[in-house]
Amino acid sequence: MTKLALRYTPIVLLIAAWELLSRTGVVAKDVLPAFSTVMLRLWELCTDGQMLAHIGASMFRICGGLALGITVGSVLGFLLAASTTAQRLVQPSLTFLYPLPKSALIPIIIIWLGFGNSAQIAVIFLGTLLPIVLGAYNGAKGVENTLIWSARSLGASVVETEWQITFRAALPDLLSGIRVALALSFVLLIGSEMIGAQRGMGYLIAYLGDGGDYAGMFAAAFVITAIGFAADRGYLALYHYLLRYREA
Amino acid sequence: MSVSASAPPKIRLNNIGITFRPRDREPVVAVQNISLEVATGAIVTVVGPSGCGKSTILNAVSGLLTPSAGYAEVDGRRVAGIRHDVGYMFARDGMMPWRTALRNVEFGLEVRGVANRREIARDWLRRVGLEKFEGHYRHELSQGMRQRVAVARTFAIDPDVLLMDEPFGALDAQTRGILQEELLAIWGMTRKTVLFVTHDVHEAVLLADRVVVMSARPGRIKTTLNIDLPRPRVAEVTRSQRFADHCQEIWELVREEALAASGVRT
Repeated sequence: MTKLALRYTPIVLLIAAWELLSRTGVVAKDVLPAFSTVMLRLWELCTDGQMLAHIGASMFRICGGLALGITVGSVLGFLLAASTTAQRLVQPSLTFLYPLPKSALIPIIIIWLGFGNSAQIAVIFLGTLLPIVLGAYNGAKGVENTLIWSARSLGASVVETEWQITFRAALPDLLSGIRVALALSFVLLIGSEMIGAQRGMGYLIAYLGDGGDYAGMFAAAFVITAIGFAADRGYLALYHYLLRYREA
Repeated sequence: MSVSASAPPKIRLNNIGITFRPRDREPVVAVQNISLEVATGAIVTVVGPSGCGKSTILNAVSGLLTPSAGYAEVDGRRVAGIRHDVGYMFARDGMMPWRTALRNVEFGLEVRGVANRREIARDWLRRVGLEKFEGHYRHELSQGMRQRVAVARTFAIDPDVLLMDEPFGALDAQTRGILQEELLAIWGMTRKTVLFVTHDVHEAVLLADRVVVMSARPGRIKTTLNIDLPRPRVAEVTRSQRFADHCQEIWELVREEALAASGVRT
């Protein structure tokens, strides 16, 4: 009980301070609408159906981009770990891509792919690829030789060993890479939707902000934060479920 | 069990030499001129200073590694590629942490498509005394229990030949002693052909029909000694003067090589 109080008291205090600062006019109402005003606006946006359509568009892009990133990234990571030729071929491009801020690609990709879903999906895909490749690669490289040799001498073929041993042994690292990718995907989603979209949470935030509806803007930002938080928590639960064989 | 002199050996190493050629470095001759025969149903142990290429020999028999010179034979057939009738145990247990003890023992049977694999795996877990731990994961088992799982897993596929690379080397003395006894008991029932690498002279004598002493790198066979002690190797045997003499003799030979390997002249 005290633990719970300790955890949530700061949040309650923060919201109270927010409300107070805005109500008393210490901070201008236009710049920082009161928490209660934001919640009221949130209710309006939700009930008139707008919000749901934007959430749907954003979720579609996140799922598409991540699905591509996870598929291509895992395959690439395992391939790099398994073959030195693949490593020689791909490593320079990855090294070059690594320090590049992926958001810098947003305008270019929009020029290439236009204003449809594909631009946002491509941005998320490219931006999440590296942590996933690295996760799969490090995981596959770190497999204990004894595991591989044991499996081979017990009669497993090369393919069976890759699937049953290397993949399973690499799973913790791969899943950690995907968690980083998940967080990145939200950043890239909002960034890309702010510039080149007619729908989605990033678009909504920019649109409401441009129109001077700051309470609405805060409300939209609140929603995407909540979704991001829920996604991470949900992912974490899946992560612990898949790795339940490990020490707690 | 007596093997007639004319019976072909189960394992034959024919003048094997293995040289590693690491990139950008001088080649390393791991072993040279290794010729050895292991009769069907015998236990041969290999001792020698660390780094003398003991494990390399096992890799050549298992097919994990192709020798640079000479060849290995199992059942009169030349080893080319990984053999699946050869069980291999390592110092590290090789237990898959994502599978329970039972499912670990099942693995070899699973990839071979054995239908009653659960039954066989349970039976082997019982034989190594782990029937109550079949649902446990690796982190829930002690070192000794993990190595027992490895024993069960290796025997479950019923290999003709067992290669053991210091399988009990990472265990504490008591656990090692118990597992050595268990191995001998299982061997007594199954009479597999065993090639066992160790740096523990007592272990080498305890298990072996014959002990092979290797020289320092490049590893060559320095001597082989027959251990003419009765089986089973019960306490009266291991506490006998002859047992002690065997250990002493082998220990002297290994010590010479260990000193040579560390650059000390005797």
